[in-house]
Amino acid sequence: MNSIRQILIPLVILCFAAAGATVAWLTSDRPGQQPDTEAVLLEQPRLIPELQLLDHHGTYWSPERLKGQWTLVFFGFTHCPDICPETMVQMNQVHRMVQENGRVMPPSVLFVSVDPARDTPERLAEYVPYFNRNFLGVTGGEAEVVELARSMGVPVSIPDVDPGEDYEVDHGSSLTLVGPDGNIQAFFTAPHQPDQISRDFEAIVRYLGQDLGQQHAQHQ
Amino acid sequence: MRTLFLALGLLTLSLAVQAAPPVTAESPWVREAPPGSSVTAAYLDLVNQGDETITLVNVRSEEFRRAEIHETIHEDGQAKMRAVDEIAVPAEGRVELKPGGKHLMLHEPREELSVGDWAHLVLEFDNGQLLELAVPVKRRTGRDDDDDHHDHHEHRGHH
Repeated sequence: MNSIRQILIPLVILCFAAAGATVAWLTSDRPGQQPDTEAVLLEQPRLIPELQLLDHHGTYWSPERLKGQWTLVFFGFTHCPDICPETMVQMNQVHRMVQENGRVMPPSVLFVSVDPARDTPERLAEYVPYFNRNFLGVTGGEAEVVELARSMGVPVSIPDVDPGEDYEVDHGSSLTLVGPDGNIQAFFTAPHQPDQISRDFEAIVRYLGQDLGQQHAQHQ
Repeated sequence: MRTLFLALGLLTLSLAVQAAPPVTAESPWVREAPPGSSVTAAYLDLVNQGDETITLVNVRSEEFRRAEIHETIHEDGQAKMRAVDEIAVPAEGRVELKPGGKHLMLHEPREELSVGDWAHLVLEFDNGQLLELAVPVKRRTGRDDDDDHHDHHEHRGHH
């Protein structure tokens, strides 16, 4: 009996100590631990297939161009009166909040048109810089747009109608966060709250690293 | 004498209350269409001061060829915009038409409208009431030089 107690007591103490240490480790602010965010952070970053689109300057664009900085990607179209301009507004607010906080570099923002029949590069050149001159719009072939959207888990249903007609394009409303390695790192699902997104963006960038370098390699 | 004035005052007040339309609009604004876009939206709060539900059934605007009651819905991770037939405003209730939700879609402006301009809306309700509104066009880009940062702030004048 005595010997059991001799073993049990230290064992219980050890358990409590381990639990305490775990709590301390989980709640400490050390970098390298999974941040608590509303975003869907991927354990395995997802690759983006090679494809070619046109940016709003009329220059060829491929996912290769996403490398080197953090980018928020979202899908929309310019014949959309409410949710698309509002998402542009929210991206601008996120961009500004991150810039004002000064903890990490603000994200690049990429607007992908899901209505390539009507959204020419010229049209995007008018639309996108109205919100922010640093944002980039891309458009191109329907198949390429759908492929890019699919790789980002964004459903797109482009209706088979005459571009001269009045139509809507239903599209996924989540935002995709692409890392400086050119891979998909996280998603933000709608409805979007700019202050939440900016906080989560900062947490993710600090966790994975501004350049997604050494720290991320260790994590993997 | 004083009682008479008071009585007259109360009478005027009660007449004014009776004359007030049951549905009013608060903080109406039209989103300046981004360049290259031929569609935009109007937003406002509908306030029903009556004791019966009143339903918005139609909207028109002299500045636009077509106007519709719309709603953006989030369904299965998708943003979908749908025309709706009507918006019911419950008795003594309020319905907000705001970005990302219910709104009045405005198609094909007859002339380009920009910040500082006004659009005229006529809202028609199922009780026959017509609400005529002059609505300011506001620029909303999310930049800090927007003329109005929040939907429900009072309009701060024009540039």
